[in-house]
Amino acid sequence: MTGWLGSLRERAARITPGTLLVRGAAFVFAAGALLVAFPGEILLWPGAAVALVACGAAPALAPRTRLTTMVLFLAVGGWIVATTTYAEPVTWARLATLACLLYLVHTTAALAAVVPYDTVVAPAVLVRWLARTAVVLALTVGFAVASVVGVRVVSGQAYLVAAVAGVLLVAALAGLLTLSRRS
Amino acid sequence: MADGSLGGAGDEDGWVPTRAFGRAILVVGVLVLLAALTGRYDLVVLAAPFALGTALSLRRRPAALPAPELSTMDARIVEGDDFAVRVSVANPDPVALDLVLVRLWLPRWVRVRDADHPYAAPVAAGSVAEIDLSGTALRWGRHDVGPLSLHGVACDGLLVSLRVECEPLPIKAYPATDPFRADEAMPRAAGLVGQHHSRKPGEGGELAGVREFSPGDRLRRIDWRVTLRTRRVHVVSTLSDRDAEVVLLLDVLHEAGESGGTGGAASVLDTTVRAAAGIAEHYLHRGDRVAMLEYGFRARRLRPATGRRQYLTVLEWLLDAKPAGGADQPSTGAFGAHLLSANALVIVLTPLLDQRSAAMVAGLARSGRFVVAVDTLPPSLRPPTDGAWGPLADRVWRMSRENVIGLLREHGVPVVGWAGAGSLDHVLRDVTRLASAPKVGRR
Repeated sequence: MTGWLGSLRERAARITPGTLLVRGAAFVFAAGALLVAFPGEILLWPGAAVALVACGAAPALAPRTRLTTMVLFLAVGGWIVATTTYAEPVTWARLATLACLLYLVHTTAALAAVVPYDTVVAPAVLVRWLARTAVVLALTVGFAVASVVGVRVVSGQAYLVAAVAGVLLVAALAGLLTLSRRS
Repeated sequence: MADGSLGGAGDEDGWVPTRAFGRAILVVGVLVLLAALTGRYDLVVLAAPFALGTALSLRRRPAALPAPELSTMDARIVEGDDFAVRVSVANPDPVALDLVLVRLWLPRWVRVRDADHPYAAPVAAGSVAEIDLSGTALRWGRHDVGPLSLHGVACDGLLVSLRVECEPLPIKAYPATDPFRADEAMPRAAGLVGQHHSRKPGEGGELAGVREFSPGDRLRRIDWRVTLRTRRVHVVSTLSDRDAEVVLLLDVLHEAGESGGTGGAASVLDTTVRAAAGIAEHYLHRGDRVAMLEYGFRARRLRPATGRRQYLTVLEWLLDAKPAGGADQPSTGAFGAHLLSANALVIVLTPLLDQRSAAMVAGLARSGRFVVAVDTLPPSLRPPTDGAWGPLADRVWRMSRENVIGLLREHGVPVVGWAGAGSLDHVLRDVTRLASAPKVGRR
């Protein structure tokens, strides 16, 4: 026990500010995504919010494991429950926030996974990473707004919008992946 | 360090997908499938950043691996000195890398500030990223800084390169010379030129006195003042200047004591090497010829020479000094008095831990060499004395060693502990006196 504690203390002493920032961000984004996704009534249950925040620590503590994927799907599940079982409305702001937070969890966990906890990280690494992420987030917000507005325009034919948008998205991704393989 | 590959795809060029890549594809696939099945457009919106981010990241992917290199401007330093190490990582690819993760492995006696941490730095396309580190060599010797291992990360953490290694960087840390000075004359010179004022009259610079002129004296030696005063021709007599050969014999049969590097405790080998460097520097600075010899399995030898070049050669030679191992000893042909000049002053640096060392020193003295033994055993060294018989065994061992030292003194070998400057003056005086005394030789 003492050896384990000593090892933990030693590892904690080796943590660098850069990696602490990345993992802290992963925790904040994951906790935020879960809190945004789950319905308000569930959050009012005693201990539910604390449990969700605790789940948000998983991508920060173990970014190289499948826990990050599980947290992402947990948030998506919470969103589905909130919008179906609890009939909460799908607003563009909440939808865009959740989409951005989920992507932030994914990308900060990806960075935390390739940078060991005791790495001295040059500030330029974080700045460049943030700049690239900002582009994706801006596109996401635009896409969310366009989708919500688009559904209203086609007067409730969400099925059609989802199918068309999904097929276009998958086709675009597949095409880019193929191109990148050839290059 | 990588967060796991997804099964070998794409590793033919040294880049493999990470778990984040698989996660992005999985999230997009599941959410779009659910959206298509249930008709929920919001799930497509949730999948959108993953698809967009992955597509943007993989727009351009690197094909070449980053190339690391270690360099320094201070490949030759003195132990305890600081030196700079530059880690250069070249990215020959037209695609920029998010970061390169660099980890440097260090030998025991080298400290580099923050080098026990990996470093992450970005590398632009077709450029070189440089990380400057400063370190200290804590002990003399040849140290290999490195190897350096490196991983490149590209496409927003979706691709990571296989490990790239860089050859270690050799650093030579010369021993810090212990201060040494010896004012005494050499016991016997090898030539009629040199720096030492001999005890014999001759052509030199040191004034020995004024005496009456005798046939053979040079006219320029006439002291006219004394000649005018005494009305008889007098000349100034001088002592001859001689050079000498010094052989430093390093006993490396055994290592004892724990080395603490510069500023710490000195082991036997530390004392031996630093003392040898100090003595060699002193005599070479005075113009003498210095030779080096190792008493161990390898029986390495450095031929006598003079000057600064020889001093640098001696330092280089000392870098390779290492304990020979207890059971090994040089063969008779590889080591012996025949390797030493008859007039050389032999300074043996020995911890006298082995009977073979004592026998070797006594053998050199018997062969007519002028031998001085310098005891390099650290005074603070205490053998392990655990157990009831430990202290007694320690006392017996010390008495036995004192007995060996006494026997050597009976053979005419002065034994003196190493104490830096002036530590050999007393014994050199004795050796010089012995050398000038008439000898009774066996016929």
